[in-house]
Formats: sequence, structure tokens, C-alpha cells
Amino acid sequence: MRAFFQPKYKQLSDEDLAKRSASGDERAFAALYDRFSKPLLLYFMKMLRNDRELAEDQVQDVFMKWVNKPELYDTTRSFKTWIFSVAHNQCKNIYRHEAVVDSASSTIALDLTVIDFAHSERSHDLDAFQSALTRVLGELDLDRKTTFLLRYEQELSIKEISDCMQCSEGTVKSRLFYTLKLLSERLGAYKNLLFTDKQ
Amino acid sequence: MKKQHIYDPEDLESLMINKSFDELLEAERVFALRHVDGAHAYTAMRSTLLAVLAQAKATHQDVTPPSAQRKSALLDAYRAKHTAKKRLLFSLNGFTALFSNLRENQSYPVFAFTIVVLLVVGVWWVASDDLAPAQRMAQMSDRETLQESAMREDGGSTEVPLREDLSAPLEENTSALNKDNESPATLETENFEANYEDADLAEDIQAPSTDLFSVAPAAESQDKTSRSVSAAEQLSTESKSRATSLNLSSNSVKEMDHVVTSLSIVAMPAERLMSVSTMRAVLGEMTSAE
Repeated sequence: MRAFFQPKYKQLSDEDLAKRSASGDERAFAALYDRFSKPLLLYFMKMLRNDRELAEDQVQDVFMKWVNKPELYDTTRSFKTWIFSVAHNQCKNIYRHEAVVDSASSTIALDLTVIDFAHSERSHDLDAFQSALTRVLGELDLDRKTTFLLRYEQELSIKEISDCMQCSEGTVKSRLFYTLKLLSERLGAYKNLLFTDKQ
Repeated sequence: MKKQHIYDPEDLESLMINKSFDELLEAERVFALRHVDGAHAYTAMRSTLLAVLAQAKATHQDVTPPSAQRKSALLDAYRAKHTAKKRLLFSLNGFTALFSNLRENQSYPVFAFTIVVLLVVGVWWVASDDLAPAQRMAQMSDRETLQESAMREDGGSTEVPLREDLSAPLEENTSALNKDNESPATLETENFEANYEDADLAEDIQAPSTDLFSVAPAAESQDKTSRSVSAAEQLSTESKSRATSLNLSSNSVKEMDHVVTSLSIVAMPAERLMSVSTMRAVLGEMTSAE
């Protein structure tokens, strides 16, 4: 009988779940976690050099922030935007405090050269492309990288990304275009793989 | 007429996803060439974009969600947080938290002290009562049971008081009845004697038998009606002596005996006492019969 009156949590919007969760509905919180834990994990893995443990810690931190201070979420905004902006800020902090960006850039530049020659024979391998892509993305500055991942990994709209990163839509489009252009130039070694589409 | 295509300058992405360079319309091709350096660059970017999207799709399928332990740990933290909220509301701290603004003021200690004093006085007041609420309820129910049983015995006409309350109200009732019965009886007797004086019926008179003036047997069983008995006896003795001094006839004395006998009703038990109005009615009948 009780279940009859309860809403179907999977059908509720992110914002409804967030409201229920903030008022103490544990099932809503669980549904929210199920909905966002995996995308956030993917995002953090991409941002943090595929370090799954570190990425899981960051996901945990994001949700702990939600548990402890749900009032930080502005209910007029999209919850998805808000939670990814929290994730983005966490990544910023990690990059800032651990100087990840500088150390990773030098490593990536070196490794990319190696990849170009070492994997040229099996450039059709999608796994190789994936690792190369990850390393090239690591070369990018944080904002460009985040923009690119939110757009093509998380499939956020241009407007959502601009809300999340607190910049204009034009800036988002510009970042996306130049990132794509850079990737196409850097990943030219994989042209045999990349050009096998329906052209 | 040829269809005009108007493109957003930053719509290149959707073009690349959907169309190869060869599939572009003339206007689309012009638009694309404004952003990229040629067909080769367009194709390279398009291939990269498609590969990125395909790789993202594959990654989504491959990566498993965070471990169950992390989820349960989060749920525990969530539960603890919200349980603590509820507990706070029902505790004394929660109650005072409602008035948290007072803490900033200097009146907060006074407020807290007043609450403590009120609590102590309330507890003392409840503890000082002899009977616990449950016992009090039991006593009330016993009283109701007694009253119901008494009403059943008396046909529901009278209300039986409690045993401990029996003595005091009975004495009061008896004395009240004595007052009611003595003074009107005395008045009636004096009126009766006055009538006989006026009638001038003084003749030889024999002493009336004392049996006629005996007290009703029921009166002896009740100590509480002894006052009424003695009053009735005193009244009859005075009536006899008065009749002797007035030389009343034997008939008159007999009638007086009737009167005194009726007055002796006063000496009956309290439950059977006649009301004053009934006594007056009896006296009235007797007077009219004479």
C-alpha cells in the first residue's frame, strides 16, 4: 500500500530528486547517487589520468558535500549543472595543490612521441587511440579539457556547460572547436583508424 | 526556388557529426570553409570527433559504477545526518534551538533559568500528590460502580453516598430533619392547644394511657433519631399535662393522642420520616374529622 503512494524515483527529474533528498528522503538520495555516480566517476577518471581510486574518492567527496550542505544547491538551476560544477572545482583544487598539470604535461608530451612511433603499426586499435586521446587531453588546460569532456563524454548541452563553468556559450563553442582542431592535428598518426568512417 | 540555409557560425559541430565534406550543400560548404582550412582539415576534424564520440560510448559501457561499500558508507552518512536532525528537534536542545536568537541576547540565561524552575516546580507538584493518576482513576471507577449497584438495589430512586462520606452527611440530614420536624410540630401543637382552649371543652378528664404516647419501635433502632424521639415524648407529656390542666374530655384526649402518635412519626428512622407537608396534611385531616 505504501509503495502504491510512493513515486517512481527513476521517473523523477534530477531537481525533484534533489529536493526530496534534501528533505530527508533516503530513497531519493540513493536514486540520485545511482544516476550521477557513474558519470561523475567517468569525468574524474578522465580528468585524473584514469586513476580509478582517486576518481572514486572524488565522487564520494562530491556526494558528501551534497549530504552535508544541500542548501548550497540553488534550486532554480539544473542539478546536473550544479553537481558537475562542484566536480570541476574539485578538479581545480587537485590540479592547483598537487601541481598535476605541470608534471602531467611534460610526461604526456614525452609519451605521445613514443606512442606515435610505437603504435603506428596498429593505429587501427581503438584502445591505442583511447590512451592517446587521454594523453593529448592531459596536455590541455583545465577549462578546455573540462569543456571537451562535459560536451562529448557527458553530453551536456552548450548552455549547461556555460552554466557549469560560468562562461558564455560563445566561449564554450570556441573552446570546443579549437580543442577538436588540436586533437585532430595531434592524433594524425591514427588517421587510418579515424578515416575509416563512411566518407 | 532554391532553399536558403542559414547557419549559426558555431554549428560546425553538428555539420561534422551528420555530414561528410562531399555531402555538404553549397551554402554549408561555404560556411565550413570559413572555419577550417579545406576539405582535408574538415575530414580530419570530423573523423576525430566521431572517434571521440565512439570512444566515449564504449567507455560508458565498460566502466562500472563505484563500489557498493562507498554507496553504503554514503547512505550511512546521509542517515546519520538526517536522524540527528530529527533527534535535535525532539530534544531539549532542539527546543531551546527554536529560541536560538535569544542566545545572542543577554536574556537567554534568564529564559533558561525560568524553564528549569518551571520544570522543577511541575515535577514537585506532580510528585507531592498522594495518589498517582492511575490510582485516582481506579478510585473514581470504584465510586461509580458503588453508585450503580446502590441504584440497582433501590430501584434507581436514591443515590448512595460513599462509605467514608456516609457519617457526616447522615448526621447533617438528620439534624436538618429534626429541625424541620420539631419546629412545625411544635407550632401545630400550639395551634391545636389554642383551638381547644377557645372551644372551652374543659371537663373531667381521665389520664390518657401511656401506650398511646409510646414511641414507635422503629425509632429505638436508630440512635441518630433519638433527638426526635425525645422531642416527641416531651411534646406528648406537655400535651397531657396541658390537657389535664385544661380539663379536656376523654375524646379530646384521644384525638390528642392521635396527634401525638402522628408526631411520633418524627421518631421513625430517617429513611422513613414523613415530610413536614405530609404531617401537616395528616393534622389537617384529623382536624376536619373532628
